[in-house]
Amino acid sequence: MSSLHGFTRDSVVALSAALAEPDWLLAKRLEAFTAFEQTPYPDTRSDEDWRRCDLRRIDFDALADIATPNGATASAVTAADDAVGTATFVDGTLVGSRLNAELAAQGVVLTSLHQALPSHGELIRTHFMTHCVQPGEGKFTLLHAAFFNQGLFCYVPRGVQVDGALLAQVELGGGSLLHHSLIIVDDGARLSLVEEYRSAADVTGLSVPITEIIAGRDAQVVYAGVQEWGPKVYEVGVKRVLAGPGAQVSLCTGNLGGKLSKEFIGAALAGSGSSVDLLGISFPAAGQHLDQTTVQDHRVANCHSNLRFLGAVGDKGRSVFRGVISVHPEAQQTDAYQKNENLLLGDKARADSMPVLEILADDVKCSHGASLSHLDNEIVFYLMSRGLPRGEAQRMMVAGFFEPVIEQVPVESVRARLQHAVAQRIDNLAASHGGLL
Amino acid sequence: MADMATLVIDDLHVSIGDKPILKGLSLTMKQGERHVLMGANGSGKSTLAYALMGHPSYDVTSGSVTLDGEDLLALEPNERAKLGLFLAFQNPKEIPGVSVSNFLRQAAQSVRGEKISLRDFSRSMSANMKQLDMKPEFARRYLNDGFSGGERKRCEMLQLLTLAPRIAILDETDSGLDIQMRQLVADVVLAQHERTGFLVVTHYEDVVQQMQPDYVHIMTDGRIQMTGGIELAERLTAEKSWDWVAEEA
Repeated sequence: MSSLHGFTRDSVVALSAALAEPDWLLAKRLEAFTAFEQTPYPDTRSDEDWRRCDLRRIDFDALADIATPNGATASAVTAADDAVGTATFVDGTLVGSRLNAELAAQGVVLTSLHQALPSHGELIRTHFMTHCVQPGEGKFTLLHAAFFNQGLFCYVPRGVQVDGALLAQVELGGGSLLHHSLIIVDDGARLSLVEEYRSAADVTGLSVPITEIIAGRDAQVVYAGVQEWGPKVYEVGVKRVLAGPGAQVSLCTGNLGGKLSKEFIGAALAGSGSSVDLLGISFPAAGQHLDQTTVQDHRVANCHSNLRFLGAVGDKGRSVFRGVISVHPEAQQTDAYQKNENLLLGDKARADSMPVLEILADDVKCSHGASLSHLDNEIVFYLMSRGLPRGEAQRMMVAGFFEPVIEQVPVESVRARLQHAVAQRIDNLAASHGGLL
Repeated sequence: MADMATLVIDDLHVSIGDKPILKGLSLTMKQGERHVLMGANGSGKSTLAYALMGHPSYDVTSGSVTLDGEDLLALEPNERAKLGLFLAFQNPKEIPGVSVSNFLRQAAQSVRGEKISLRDFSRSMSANMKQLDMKPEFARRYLNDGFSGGERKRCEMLQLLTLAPRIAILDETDSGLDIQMRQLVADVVLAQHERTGFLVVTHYEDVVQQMQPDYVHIMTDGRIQMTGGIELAERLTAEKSWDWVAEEA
């Protein structure tokens, strides 16, 4: 892998040159870099968003090898063949993509940001880190805006319906990966897209991804992001949807891998009548710290958001959930719900759950709830009495714990991927505990 | 049937915590026989059921239980199930996220120790559900989640039909059911009685009449005090009390 070392101005310039970027993009990077340098890392003692997330565990300097395009191939990655289109990224480079010809003929695009620049430059310039996620939101969004790699660009033109799911696979071989996904679903269009993030077990790395989903008027979007990094990867990421009038969006995240992961997952309900489901599953095992902050940002009236995040926590694993419902003064007739449920698998499993309601309108319906539970021994006995060995009974219960969220994902192939990912986590956990959870 | 399974309970003592509940219970039953167990609340009927299945909270302090000579008490609940023992629960637990069909297929595979194709399984499941007058949608629902009392009991009967045990204990499966549902439970027992030995814990004489048991056992204070035929159940109904059992035992 060829790479640039260090989060420096020189690296910004060299990366932009290696990617043959237009001037405006280099200028945008440099502007972000200047602000990055002037912005301190979040104070994990005083900043509520970061209070339980120990950033000192991340050696940013050591991990600051930024991959540049180097002719890597997709040999290591096998693309699923049930998707109607796939794009595979290895260390920040698009190494292969394929799209159903009929969709391509209708103007659907599934490629890298940089390959799309010549044909869709204006669209990218309009939407790339401008109004969904902005560079200046914090230290890591600035870092991302200065050093982002060749990310995903997916566009579905007005009124085009994508049947079946598109799949983007993102693989990290080491160093820093700042994968950007810009997904634009135009007015009345429909899209289902899955992103999978993976690395080999022995890879040490830093991932600072941002996914921006722009859903136009009455657009229908199903997005699932499944993070299955190896155990030595650190991540600070943002996934956010900007929902236009009448848009219906289901944003599902599987936060499963990594050593320390801090994810900001949000929906900005910016168009009247929009509706967003935020679905989340997470499953930290021993030594993993998975930290999620969600924001249901109701900016206008008559919108609906429903969040359900489920977390199973293996022994010595740690999960943190902070769920914000923010209702702006003009966002009357808001319906917003939030539910976080945690299943602790072991005496040393720990889950923190903090709801935050910031409601500035008076005619709204909002509620939140959180729960903590353990595997119920009476249920284990019940299942065993039907012939299931103890370990299998427990696995069935943990898989079942996630099912109420997975079954809400409206696309069969996406559900199957999530179920598969959960099953693998359960297998791994069971394997390290002699078959029992 | 050539090799009729035999369950032998000999001088069984069971405690919950420090409290002795079963105080020397003995009972022998064979596959193909129908036994009814009646007794006052608190006499230990459910304790017997749970202890036989191997619930960890029920401490067997002495005595033995064998199924075809094999020591049941040394086995985990799933191993007992594999040997052909089944317990229909009085209050089966809700298991959100686990569908009835998925659960039943895995259970059937575990008990039989072999893979069952989805096609074969679906076919036999449909037939069993039809026998129990259950709608096909039921298979996709989460196990006992939001089920009515009657649906839970029906689901227990569906499990019984699916797993085809050699010995089945029905722990007041008929409690809280209307007369029509009680008839359904009795019908299952009658339909299965040739391949399964039943130990039916019940308070209802009508259920006893419908099942036509080979034996009726009356239990008080942790022991079987009296064994006879259907006339014992009739006498209970007539006496409306348990006092005569203690006097005559």
